[in-house]
Amino acid sequence: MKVHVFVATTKGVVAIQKIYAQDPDIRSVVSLNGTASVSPISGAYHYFVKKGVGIIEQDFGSASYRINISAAIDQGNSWQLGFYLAHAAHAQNCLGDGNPQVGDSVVIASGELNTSERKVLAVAQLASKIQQVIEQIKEWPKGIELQFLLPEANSYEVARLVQTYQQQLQILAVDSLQQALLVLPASKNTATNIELDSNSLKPRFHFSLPITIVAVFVLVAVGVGIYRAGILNVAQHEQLTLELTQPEILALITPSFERVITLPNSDPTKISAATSQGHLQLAYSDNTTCQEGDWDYQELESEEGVFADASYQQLCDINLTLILPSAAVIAVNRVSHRFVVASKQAGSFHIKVPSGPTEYLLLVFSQALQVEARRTLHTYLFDLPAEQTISKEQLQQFAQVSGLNFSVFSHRLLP
Amino acid sequence: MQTKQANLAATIFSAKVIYRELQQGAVTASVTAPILYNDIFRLASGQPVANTTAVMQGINASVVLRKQYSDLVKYFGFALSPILAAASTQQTLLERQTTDFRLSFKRDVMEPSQVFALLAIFHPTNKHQREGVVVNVLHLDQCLRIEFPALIDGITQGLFNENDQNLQYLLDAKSEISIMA
Repeated sequence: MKVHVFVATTKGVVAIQKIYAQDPDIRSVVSLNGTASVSPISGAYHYFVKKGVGIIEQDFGSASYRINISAAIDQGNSWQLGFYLAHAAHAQNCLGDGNPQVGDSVVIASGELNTSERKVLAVAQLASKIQQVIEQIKEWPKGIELQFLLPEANSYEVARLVQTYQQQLQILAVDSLQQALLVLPASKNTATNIELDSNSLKPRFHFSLPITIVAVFVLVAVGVGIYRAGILNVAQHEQLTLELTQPEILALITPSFERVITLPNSDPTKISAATSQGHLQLAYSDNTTCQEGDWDYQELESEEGVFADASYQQLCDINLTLILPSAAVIAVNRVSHRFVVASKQAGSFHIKVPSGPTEYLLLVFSQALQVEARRTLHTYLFDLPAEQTISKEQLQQFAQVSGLNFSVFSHRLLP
Repeated sequence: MQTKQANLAATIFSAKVIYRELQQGAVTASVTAPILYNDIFRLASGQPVANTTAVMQGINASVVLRKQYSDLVKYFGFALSPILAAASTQQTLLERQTTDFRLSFKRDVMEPSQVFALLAIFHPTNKHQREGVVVNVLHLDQCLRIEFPALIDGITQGLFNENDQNLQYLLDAKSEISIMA
């Protein structure tokens, strides 16, 4: 399976066809289709590679690279996120050539990078770029995993557009390189080949639990092929910068409920009592895959915090809407105790469809979670005995003891 | 009657000849548009000129203009590498070094038919660092003007196909290479 990386531009998507290291005496260069025609951004790319200014040499080793791209990129810096991901894919030996085939993965990105802080910065004309991406998708065969990465800082302005196209393309808002890298398949090669400067990624919070147990780490959720189109918008929340090293982050990647997604930090506020009545919308595909066919919707109203059971078969989407304003929702698997943080979009919360039928609890917070509160909750869940199925009452009791205030809903997805 | 027709035919014939001559004159005029001294001056001094390609073609088509251009290049040149005594071998790429610059060549590792020309200028001007470097190559009866991007860390580079005339002349020991200020 190859990962084809594209840069979204206002004139269409530009494929990154090939990357290879050059003689260090030669300056890094961007060329068009492998010809001797050099892109005007070559100078900027050189600095993007150069150690001390850029990050490519620092992360991937060589002082000089040549990148072949399929069409002209004349100006700006929004190519940086795509180029970095292409280098990472190349390091993982899975970079495609821009011609996706069935079974391949396509990552389209637009974002400028703050190379010292490894943050993804906002870019201009994103709506136009998304439109171009949608046009390009029509040219590709079906059966391709499609992901579009945009800066979290841009997500508000394109939220409506994203909702329009969420069935065609999984759109992810990212705030950091760590988050963005989750779109790439994790492999041993990645863990060993990408050598990161330890000064740039210092562990700030280290779990004592073995890495084989799902731990808490901060990353935007990335569908790994089994999740259907839909924006995973963590942009409305600040990011919890729980910084682990690159290999640790990639080693922790697991799908669905087993992957932890954290909400970004918002302004520090107290946690108070959450809402008590909710509306759950479940979307089902009438086809074998969620990307094909139309969706039918099932609406559920909560009764005393319980949603009626629903089928897991052909489930494509879960959206929770609450009567009273809510700031955060965490979905907890009652059996595995693993959890995901729902992404807030346009007043409702999008919950990732789990990998199988399950029972889960929804913790609803009326105010944004502080880091310490989140850690308290995480620690509680992880310390629970593995064989114990957590109940609503247990969590409510925990809330009283810990001083965290949230309301709890329960739901079951049946086979 | 016959005289009238003959006159008409002659008139038509004459008109056609004149029309043809006018057409040819227009074509000739577009190819050999007069080259202004000002354009030669600006090009030789490293300044941009509209339609550089056409002007250089005109220069190369005229012995007089070529002499003017090469004299101006020598006058405005920042650094000069004269014709070399020894010819390069087919296996090695010729490198030139003076007290002011070094011009070297490296093949692309994956595309061996493409060659990087690396130009290091030891004491560059502000223009070299901001706008780029103009290199004039005087080879036998030809003048070439090659533009390189702005210096980074004192070095600029160009990428050429192996059979590119620009590269061939840069490689040729019989070329006189001038770096413009």
